[in-house]
Amino acid sequence: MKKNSSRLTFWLFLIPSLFIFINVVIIPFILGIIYSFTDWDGFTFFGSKFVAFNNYLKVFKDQNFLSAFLLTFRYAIIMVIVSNIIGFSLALLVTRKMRTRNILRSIFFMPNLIGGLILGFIWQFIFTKLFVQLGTVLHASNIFFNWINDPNMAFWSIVIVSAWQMSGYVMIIYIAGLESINPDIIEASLIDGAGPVRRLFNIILPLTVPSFTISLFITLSNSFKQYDTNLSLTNGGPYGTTELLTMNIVQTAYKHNQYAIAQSKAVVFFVVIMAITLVQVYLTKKREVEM
Amino acid sequence: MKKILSLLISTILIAALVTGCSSSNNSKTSQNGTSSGQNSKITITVMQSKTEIQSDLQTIIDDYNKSQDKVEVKLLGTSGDNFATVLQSQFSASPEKAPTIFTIAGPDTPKFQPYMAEIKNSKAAEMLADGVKDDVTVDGKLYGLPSAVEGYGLIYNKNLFKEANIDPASITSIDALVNACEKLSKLNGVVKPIAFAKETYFSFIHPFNWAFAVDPNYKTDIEKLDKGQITMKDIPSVVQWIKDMDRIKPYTNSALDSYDDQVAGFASGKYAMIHQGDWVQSVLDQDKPNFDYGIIPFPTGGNTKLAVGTATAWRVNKYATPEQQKAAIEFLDWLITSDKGQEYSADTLKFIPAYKGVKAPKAPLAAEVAQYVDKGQIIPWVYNNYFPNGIDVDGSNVIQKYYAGLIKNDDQFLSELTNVWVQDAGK
Repeated sequence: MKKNSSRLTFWLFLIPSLFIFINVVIIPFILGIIYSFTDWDGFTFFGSKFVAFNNYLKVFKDQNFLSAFLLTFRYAIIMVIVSNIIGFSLALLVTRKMRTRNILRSIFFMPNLIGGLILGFIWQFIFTKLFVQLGTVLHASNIFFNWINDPNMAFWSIVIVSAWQMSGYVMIIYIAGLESINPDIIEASLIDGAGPVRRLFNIILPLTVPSFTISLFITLSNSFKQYDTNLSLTNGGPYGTTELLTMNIVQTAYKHNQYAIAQSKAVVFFVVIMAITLVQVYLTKKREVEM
Repeated sequence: MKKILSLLISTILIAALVTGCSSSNNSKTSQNGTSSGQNSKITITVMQSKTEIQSDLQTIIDDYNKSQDKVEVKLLGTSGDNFATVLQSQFSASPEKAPTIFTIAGPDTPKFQPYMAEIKNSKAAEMLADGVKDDVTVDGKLYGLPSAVEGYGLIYNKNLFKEANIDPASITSIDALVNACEKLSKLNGVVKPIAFAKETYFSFIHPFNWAFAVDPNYKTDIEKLDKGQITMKDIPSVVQWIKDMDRIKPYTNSALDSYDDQVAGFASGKYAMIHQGDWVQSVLDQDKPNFDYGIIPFPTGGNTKLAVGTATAWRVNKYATPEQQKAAIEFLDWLITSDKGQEYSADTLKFIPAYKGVKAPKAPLAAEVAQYVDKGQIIPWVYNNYFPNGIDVDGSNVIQKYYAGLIKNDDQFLSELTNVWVQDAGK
């Protein structure tokens, strides 16, 4: 009896989210793979022809797609490094015994509560208006100019905004990891005479590897999937130099009306992200220490 | 205890989910039921692309709903830039539930052709002006009612022109325009004489349209261009346009401002001319500039005609019920031809009529555009029907490169334009 009721609870809880998950993730995903092998035009599927791997051949010949791919790789690597370093440092900061630590935690987490789209628009104002003003006031127009109109700085402006947003989120994960370290071990290291640097590298870091597994995974996959900030901050410009992969896919579908090709790009994109993140999780899992 | 509690909560959740679904089903059936019932209203929905007229249109629709009790018109939200995308997702989801009346024109039109009902028994259709009929006719059948014509060119600050002692009517060549720019740039407060906006249409499609619009053979030229038989270099008007752009480039803002910034800059006197159309009227009305303004053609190759075309047209959803389609055409007829509708169209929406014998708006820009239309001093919006899909993005990338100085000479400019054009046309 008891077992039956708990099984019932299990399914009652599972069914709603399973229903949503199947409808908005599984079914579109399968349909997407099917579409990628046809010449689907974006409206009804009936009447589309099977074209085998033609779409995929076109995808790999598309120069814009390949350059967007490289740019996204560059972006993802920079983002993983920057946001994890900042996030971990913030976590170390706010796990100290300070009076303001709770306020600081919420402040650092705050950017994550604002959507990437809104953040993009807010920062666009900063980069295009405030920076120009600062440049004229401080006579430093070689540093403070309109970053959005410069191909190189426009890329970095996306990195800055996204890192600002992501670090707060991974900070929370690192805080959880840091607080779960047994204080006895820290105390033992103190008695053994370990300095702060040695303690960080030999005690704290190995024990927070599980948090790193999660944080690296989240930052890696989120950076690959970056779209909203890219859209609202630079919209791919100037002259298409900051067009990340997801934006390239959206442009292919909605600007060039090549839905099937965009779908093939999305499948390629999925396979690549999956491969990369699986390798990453496998590698970091191996380093996790069981206490 | 805990188990019982969780069981209770989950049952409530499921119940809510189930009743939620079923209640929406109920309302759907009741809606269908009422549309077939005798003394109930037919509901039609309207979705249109012009964000700037959205609130005015809502007032007009409210008035229409009050004036009769057969039809309830509902205005759906609009999205401006991504309008066609949003509309398409609605049609691909289920055409029956897509908006009854929607607006579309330009390069996206063919995509929506299968979803447009032929316009029959419409009063407005009979009054449609000849020049615009082609824009909405396919195979001899009428598939839309243009909401208005619009014209663009260089909108100029009359006070600054007077101050610099320039006669706007004298600007009939690039030389005259460059001279004017030279004089204007010396005036106090003028940062750049000419400003373009950076959005794809404003930075590329509209300016580039001149190159083809002044070419009498643009249809055959574009056909050959699409097939790769000729390049941009072989079209004299395009070569001329690039030469003209080279001349005025130093006097422009390099298309770095957004649309809002561009118009605000014009209103504050920062820019003496902006390359825009009469649609900036509503923005200027809000900014209330303390000077008069007018519109002149862009004089590429000695051009003296304004670029005028059907900006957008009302379309009726083919998959709506026959009652809804009829109600939709009635509503459009009311908006375009009835006394009250004409007043609203001209005075509130500031639509420059695409119809004969219909009231024209009094606003300064609209009145000047209407004059050009009257005199027949107009050239078409070639991009509406002949530019390939996606050229707005790819072309604006090229022109942004050009402004940034990354294109060394005219030949490179021409070949890059040809490349993106052929690429987009071939897809």
